[in-house]
Amino acid sequence: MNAPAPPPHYAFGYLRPPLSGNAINGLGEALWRRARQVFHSSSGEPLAWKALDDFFSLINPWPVVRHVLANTWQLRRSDGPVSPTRSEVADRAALTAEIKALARGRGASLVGVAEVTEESLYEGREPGLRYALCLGLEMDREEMLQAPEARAAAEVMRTYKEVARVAVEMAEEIRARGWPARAYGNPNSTDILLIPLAIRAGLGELGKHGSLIGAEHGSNFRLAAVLTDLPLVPDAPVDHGVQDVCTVCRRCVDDCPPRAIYEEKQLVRGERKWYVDFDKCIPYFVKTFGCAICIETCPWSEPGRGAWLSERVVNLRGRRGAKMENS
Amino acid sequence: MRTLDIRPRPGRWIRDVTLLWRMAGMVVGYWTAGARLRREYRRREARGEVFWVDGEGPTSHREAALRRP
Repeated sequence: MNAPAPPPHYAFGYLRPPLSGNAINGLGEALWRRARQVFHSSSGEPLAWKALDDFFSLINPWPVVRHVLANTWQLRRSDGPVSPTRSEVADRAALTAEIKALARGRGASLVGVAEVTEESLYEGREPGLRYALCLGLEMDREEMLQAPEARAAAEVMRTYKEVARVAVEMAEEIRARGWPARAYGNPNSTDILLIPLAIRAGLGELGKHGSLIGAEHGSNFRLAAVLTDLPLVPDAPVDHGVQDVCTVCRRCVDDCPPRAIYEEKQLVRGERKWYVDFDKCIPYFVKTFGCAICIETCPWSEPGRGAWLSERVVNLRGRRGAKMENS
Repeated sequence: MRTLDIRPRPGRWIRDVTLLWRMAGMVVGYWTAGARLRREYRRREARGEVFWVDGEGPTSHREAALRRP
């Protein structure tokens, strides 16, 4: 990071603290259940941490807010009428390749397809669409190295707005072909969880810092999605060595000012996975207009580093495998 | 200031005008009630005091801004 991070001391707080965000997220729960919304409501629902969310909304600097407004305006086209003339699909693989190429042509740098599963839907939400076209767009690295300053926050929202534009245009394209499609370009909680979908679509792996890590851009990108019934061919999750590296790397843990990142995987709603302590992370996130230190300090986010790391991990696995066979 | 969840509504023009009206309310709220809140927050921060987000926080300000005709 270019600037020293401010200390995790806060001039704001709760008179009546809400239920722990970790409890809402299901930390320590052995049984699987769907995720519950806790922060960043997009529909105005009174979520447990709404007061802090509202405070966050109003202390954000104007360069961030103007991107939020522009995104709100374009997302009015996220859903709409479907053409009565449906284009039939003879070759699903060819169609999927065409749709992915269109998304890339409109500006997405990462594109994948996943089936919509229960783990990617918030409790009580049923979008009723089968496939997700997952989209990623990288952020300007120089701007993001200003994290946790307001410039980085503006870059985050600018990127969300751009990747949402691609999602909206792709949803319109699919609806024009006679298939239902809805764009999800809202960084706040909606119906879906973008990260589980993107993992299934092969855009990256879940990292220790709770964000996605892709082979090319590390964590330096933002997500959107289009849910549709257009019969696309789903991609498979990828393994480019993130789990191996995150197990031994402590970079994000050490660089996180509020010490919110767990060193070990945690049990969350019946699954062991990397997890970030919500109650420690969110106040710092609010104070710094979105923080983003962990995603920029991650070694994978350094341009050109991901491919090198992947190669090293694969080689190491190969050597270990050979050693085990010989012994 | 959050990105609103825009559900489809009948009538494109009604939808657009309604959304524009809500967004105008958000902008006005950001520069009026929001400006007061930011001033007060900075004042307390400088004095080493705490701004209580649920006691005197922005929820009512923001909702009032969104309700504004």
